[in-house]
Amino acid sequence: MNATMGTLSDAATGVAGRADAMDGLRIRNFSGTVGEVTVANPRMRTRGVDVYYGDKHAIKNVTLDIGSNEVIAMIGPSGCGKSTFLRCLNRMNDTVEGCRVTGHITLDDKDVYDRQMDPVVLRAQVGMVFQKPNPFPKPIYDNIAYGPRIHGIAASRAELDEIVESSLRRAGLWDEVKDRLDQPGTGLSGGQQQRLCIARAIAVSPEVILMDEPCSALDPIATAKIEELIDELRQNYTICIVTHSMQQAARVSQRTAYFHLGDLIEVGETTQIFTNPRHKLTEDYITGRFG
Amino acid sequence: MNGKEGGHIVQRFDAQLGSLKDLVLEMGRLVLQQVRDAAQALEEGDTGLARQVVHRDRDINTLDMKGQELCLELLATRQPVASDLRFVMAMSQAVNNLERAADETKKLGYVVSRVYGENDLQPIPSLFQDARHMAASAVELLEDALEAVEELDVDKAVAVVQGDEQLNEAFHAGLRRLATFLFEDPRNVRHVIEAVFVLKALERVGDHATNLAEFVIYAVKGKDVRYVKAEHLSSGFLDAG
Amino acid sequence: MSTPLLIAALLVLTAVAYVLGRRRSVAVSAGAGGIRNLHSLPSYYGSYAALWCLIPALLVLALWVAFRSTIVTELVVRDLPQEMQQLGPDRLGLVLNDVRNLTSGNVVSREVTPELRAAADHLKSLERTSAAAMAVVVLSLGVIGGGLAWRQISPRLRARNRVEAIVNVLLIVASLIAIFTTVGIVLSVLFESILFFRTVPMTSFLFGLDWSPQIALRADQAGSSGAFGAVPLFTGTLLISGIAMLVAVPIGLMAAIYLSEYASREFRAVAKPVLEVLAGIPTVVYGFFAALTVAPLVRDAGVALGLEVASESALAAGLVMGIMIIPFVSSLSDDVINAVPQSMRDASYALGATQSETVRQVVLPAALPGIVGSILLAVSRAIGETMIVVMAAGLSAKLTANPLDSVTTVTVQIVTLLVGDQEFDSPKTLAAFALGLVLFVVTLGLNVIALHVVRKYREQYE
Ligand SMILES: Nc1ncnc2c1ncn2[C@@H]1O[C@H](COP(=O)(O)OP(=O)(O)O)[C@@H](O)[C@H]1O
Ligand SMILES: [Mg+2]
Repeated sequence: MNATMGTLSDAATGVAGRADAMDGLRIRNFSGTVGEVTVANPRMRTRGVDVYYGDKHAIKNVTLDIGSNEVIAMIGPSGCGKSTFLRCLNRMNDTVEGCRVTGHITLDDKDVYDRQMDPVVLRAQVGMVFQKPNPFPKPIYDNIAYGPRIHGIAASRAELDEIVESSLRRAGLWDEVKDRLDQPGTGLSGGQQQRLCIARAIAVSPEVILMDEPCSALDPIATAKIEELIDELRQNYTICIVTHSMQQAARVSQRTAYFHLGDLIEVGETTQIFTNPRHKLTEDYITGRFG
Repeated sequence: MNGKEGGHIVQRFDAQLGSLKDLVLEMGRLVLQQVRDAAQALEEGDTGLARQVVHRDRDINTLDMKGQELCLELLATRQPVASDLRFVMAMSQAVNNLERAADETKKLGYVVSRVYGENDLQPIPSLFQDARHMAASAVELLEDALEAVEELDVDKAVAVVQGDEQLNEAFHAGLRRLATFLFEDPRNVRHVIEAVFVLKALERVGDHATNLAEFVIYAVKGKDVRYVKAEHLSSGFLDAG
Repeated sequence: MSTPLLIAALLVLTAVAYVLGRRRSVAVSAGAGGIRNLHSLPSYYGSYAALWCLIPALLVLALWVAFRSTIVTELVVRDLPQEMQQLGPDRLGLVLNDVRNLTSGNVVSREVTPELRAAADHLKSLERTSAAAMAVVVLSLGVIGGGLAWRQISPRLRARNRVEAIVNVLLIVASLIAIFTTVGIVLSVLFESILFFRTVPMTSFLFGLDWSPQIALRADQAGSSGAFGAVPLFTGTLLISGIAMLVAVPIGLMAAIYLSEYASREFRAVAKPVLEVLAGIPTVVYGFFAALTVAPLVRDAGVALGLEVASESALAAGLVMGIMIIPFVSSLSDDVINAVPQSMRDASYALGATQSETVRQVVLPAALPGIVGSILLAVSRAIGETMIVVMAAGLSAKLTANPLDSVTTVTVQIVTLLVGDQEFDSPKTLAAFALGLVLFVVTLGLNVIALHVVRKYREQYE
């Protein structure tokens, strides 16, 4: 890896231009990421993030901005640390034994890993959708109402009803389930379950939604529905999606980040990454030349 | 790409890309032969050869269709990205350009048939003297362009783009000469018009060769240089982010 | 040849059949172009020959052993003098007994007459012939069976399918044995209970409030006025089980939650086996722990509080029993809680739930069916428990809901009814079967409910 990084050091672009915007945050020497890691209107920012699982260095010095109302796709071979990075953003790694995160991550300029920051509050702001649809074995209504109830968002039953309905509508699921809200969410089809999970995440009105391979268990039609949904959700949310499907990354995202063995190799406009990637590793990965 | 180290995991993909390139090269050789034959027919007033040139255009049209089909198949089944995508797009354009270059040679064939085949018209070979040089340059450009395609060699491609400037200059010089000729004897207007057709066709062949070279640059570097001045095409410019 | 020896010989024969069958299949395959062209692997041909050698022979052997003594006896009787044959079946049996004793050189209860001696000799020779004939028949059957199978072997023979079919039948037979045993137990209990209900009406057994089976022993009033009201026993059982569950369910469940959700991996690795050791302690140890340590403790505590506590109290027995069944609840619950997919917890955490919210609102509801199942299993364990109650709760069948009183349970009464030597068909003995039947029905019902509950909700999160 180091050898490769050497060859591209000259290509690393000046992120230093935005250094002044990171008030109060010490910025470490940026890694050799190719491309523009910063954006004009960031929602979340990570600076020099390292993640260790025990002795294993899973994420190495990653600096990346996640812009407001953008869909950013994370791609890379299995085990390169995409999920790990994603889970840093809402501190889901806290629940993993032996996982250590260093560096700075901010959400709207607030330090995510600060002592003052309650992960409970953070996770209400940064929602997450998982690879396998994981609705609770509860009625559809209770699945959606779970988050609002925990956070005490709804003052009355009517308000809760409204949150449930609007979340399901936004997730494009309302018409399909409005007559069976009292039936278990686990009885829906895979694609519906995943949209239910998205609706569940939306119900606590987060700012950022993290999606870890949300379509890898779905058929093409269900996948298309989710992609359409992601496109609509971009109006109101920032979405960070990990995907193994290059085509999906190309279809849904505005920016794409390529990870390799824990390094963030290249970030760029999605069209640029898929027509003219600048790093050889990115090129080799997306064109299918690995091995 | 084929020839480069580290092919695709799916080797059949490499094979398909290779056969696309082979088709382009094959088509290029045919077009090259057309240009040579058309120039020779013009030089020697050989209407038989001219008819052959016109006739052979069909073979090239067939290859054109085949080439576009191959590109379509690659796009549909492999969904190429990055350099693969650029390569397929470039080859698709290359096929298109070669077909149009071939059309130009067909025009040359018609001119020869008209000028030398109709009895009421007395040919004036001196009018075609610029055409001889231009045909030679066009052939050379096309040869170099095909070599650039074969080796995906950016330097050769840049040389082709820059070489086309000379062909353009020769074209304009030729037009000027024809204009003087017309001033001297306006009755030769029909001959002059045919000669203009010839020069224009040869100039277009050069342009198509240049396009080929520009698509090579696009395939390799990912830069669209069609509207970049030839003298700016340094390797520094091409490698800049 | 004695039967064990015969069986050993048969097994040797089977082994030989296996080897020969295998060898022949390889040999015939040589003509057909190698083992590849055999229908099955050579070992299947070997097994085929072996099974044909073993099974028919074994069947005949079993039948022979089963009917030998009847036939031999019949033959002996036929040769007895006329007047002896005229004797009633009972007395004839006695005579035959003497004949048998005579053959095996035991003491004989009567004078040895020549007839008797002749019969004994006859018996001896019959048995000898029978044993020899059996050996010959069984072994030759083995040879014939194995030989026929061996001759059948050809590349076309579908040996694998046939062997698998035979194995299939063997598996069915094995499971039938288990089922029939259970059915047999149930039937025997049932028949004895029916005998009991002939003397004591079912209603007075099920709803009677008085249990004093001793009365029935007195004089020969043939079990009429003994009090067989089982209600005090069932309330006693209920009381003790209830106390036990009050101890075991909260402690076991909380231990399970702690172990599966909060404890570090190292602690869990130590604590879980230690908890399970509780289940391995013999109940008699719990019994004297209850009787010698806990019961006095309970009484002293009660006295200190000014309560009247019997020296053998339901409370003491229930407490100890509760401790005993903690591992049933905790271990099973721990397993089902662990079986709740991590993705459920992730989903909850990702919505901003804390760990305890996640446990209460997601994990426990998802694991509930399994937890209920584990509790019901623990209940049936508590109901069936005897030793602790015998030692710590006393034997008096009082109808009371006071945990400080001494009570008794169904199982304890079964034990006390059956120890001692009373006539087998006295109501007192038969009452044990009736109690056993009711106990069986209750625990069976609980188990069925437990299985049903577990199965009904199991698929929910898959
Ligand atoms: N809980 C964990 N404990 C130890 N190592 C882990 C754990 N989770 C992930 N890893 C390691 O970290 C690396 C990155 O994993 P992950 O982020 O899941 O990759 P990706 O999502 O890109 O496939 C992998 O090498 C993986 O083995
Ligand atoms: Mg992953």
